[in-house]
Parts: sequence; C-alpha cells; structure tokens
Amino acid sequence: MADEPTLGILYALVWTIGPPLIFGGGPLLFSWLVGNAYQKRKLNETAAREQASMQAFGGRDPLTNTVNIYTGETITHGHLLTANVSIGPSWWQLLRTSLKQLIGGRIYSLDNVLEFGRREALQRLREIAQAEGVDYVINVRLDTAEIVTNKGRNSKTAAVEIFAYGTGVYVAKPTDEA
Amino acid sequence: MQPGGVPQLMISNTETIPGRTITATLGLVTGSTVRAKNVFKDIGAGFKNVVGGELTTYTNLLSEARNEAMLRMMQAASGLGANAIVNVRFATSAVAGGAAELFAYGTAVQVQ
Repeated sequence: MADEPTLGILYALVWTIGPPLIFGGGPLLFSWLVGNAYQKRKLNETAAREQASMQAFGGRDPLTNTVNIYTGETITHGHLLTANVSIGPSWWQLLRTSLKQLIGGRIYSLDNVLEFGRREALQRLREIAQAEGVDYVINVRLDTAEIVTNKGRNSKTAAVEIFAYGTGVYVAKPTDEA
Repeated sequence: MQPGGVPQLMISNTETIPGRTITATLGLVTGSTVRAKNVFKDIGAGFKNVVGGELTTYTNLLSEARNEAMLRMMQAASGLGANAIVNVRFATSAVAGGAAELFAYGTAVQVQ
C-alpha cells in the first residue's frame, strides 16, 4: 500500500512532537494562545459595561473618591456598598514575569491583569449602585490583597483580590424641594 | 450568631451617616473571621490560572467571609446600643499559608 510510508511518517511525527508538547510546552502554548485572547475579550466586555453604566447614570461616573459631592445637590441618605473580584495571571504571564525578573524593569504583561481587576471591581460597584438606585457612590476606596502567594521560580499559581467599597448616597431631587 | 439575626444598622465609610446627625460616639467596633481555601477549589483555581482572569471561587469565598466579618462588627455595635457604624474600613491579611483573615472595623455611633 502507498499509504504505509506516509502513515509511518505521521506516527513518527506524532511520537516526536506529541510528548514534548503535552509534557513540555503544550499547556504553556495553550496559555499563550487562549489566555491572551480570553483576557482581551474580558477587558473589552468590562469596557462595554462601563460605557453602559455611565449612560445609565446620565453620562457621568457615579463613583467619586471624595466625601462631598461638589454639584450643589443635597445628600439625603445612604449606605455602604461593596464589590470584589479575585484575579490571577496566566501561566504564560507568570513565565514572562519570571524571565523579566532576571534583568528587572517593567513587567508589561501584569499591567493588563491588574488593570482588568481594578476596572472590573469598580464596574461591579457601579452595577451594584445601579441596582440599588443610588445617585452617587462617595468615598470610594480600593484594597488589594494577595490571596495566593506566588513563590517564584516554578510556582504556577498567583491570585490577588481587589475589593472596592464606598457609600452609596441618594440626593434630593429638584421636585422634592418644590 | 445572636438570636434575632442581622441587626439593622446604618453603615457608611464616611465620617458621618449622610443626612443624619451623630448624637453619641460609642467607641470602636471590630469584626474578623479567618477563612481557609479548600483543596478542591484550589485545584479548580489552579486550572483557571492557565489562562488567567477571574477566579470566581475565590471571589465568592472572600465576599462571604467579608460579609461574616461585617456581621460580627454589626453585632458588636448593636451590643453597645448603637444604631449606626461610621468610617468603616476593611483589612485583609494572610495569617498562614492558604488562610486569610478578613477584618472590618468602624466607629459605633448613635444617630438621630
């Protein structure tokens, strides 16, 4: 049969490329290909939700870092709102980090991970604010906690939790005073 | 947990309760809880770490734990006879490998 030599070559290829791919760089390759696309998609989704929330609040960001709102409106009442998100970098990003640590300097791959985490936590706070029907969230604070410590070298897990909290407040509507 | 469930308290992380006047300060109240991750969740999160992104099991675990810390703080405040807690702050610390302490503190006050 003419097929036999080609089949033989195929087997040889599978047995030479397969095991190193599965036990060597395969998961890492997967992490690079899938992880980057996945994280980019999630960041775009968060950006779209941010736009949607801002529109729901009349084109402004309901979150503020200050205790007072400087819009001339009077705060009537309010309560605490919290939101959190736990995130981790991909294996590929951890590998890049450990390689970059040899020469030091900026680690761009982790910028995106933390940017996503912060934006996602703040966006969840906006969505909670939207669900509660508050007008502003004042005194917003962000906390970051390392929940899974990466031990460096061959350690393949790392996670941080980003926690956002603030006081959701309602303002007196112009119709209330009239 | 105290009988009566969740105390009804006003909570804010600002110096005052918006729209209210503080009539008495009753002192600092704290609430804390230590939680450990379980092995199975850890393995699941380890798999998710391949592609990175959100680790939902940890998000839920920590939010539950933080709610418990806040509940303990609220119980301490209602024990003092307060009806509000102001200037609430949160802290997280890793006390042992795989365990985290979630801590909430604030000032118990009485408002009008």
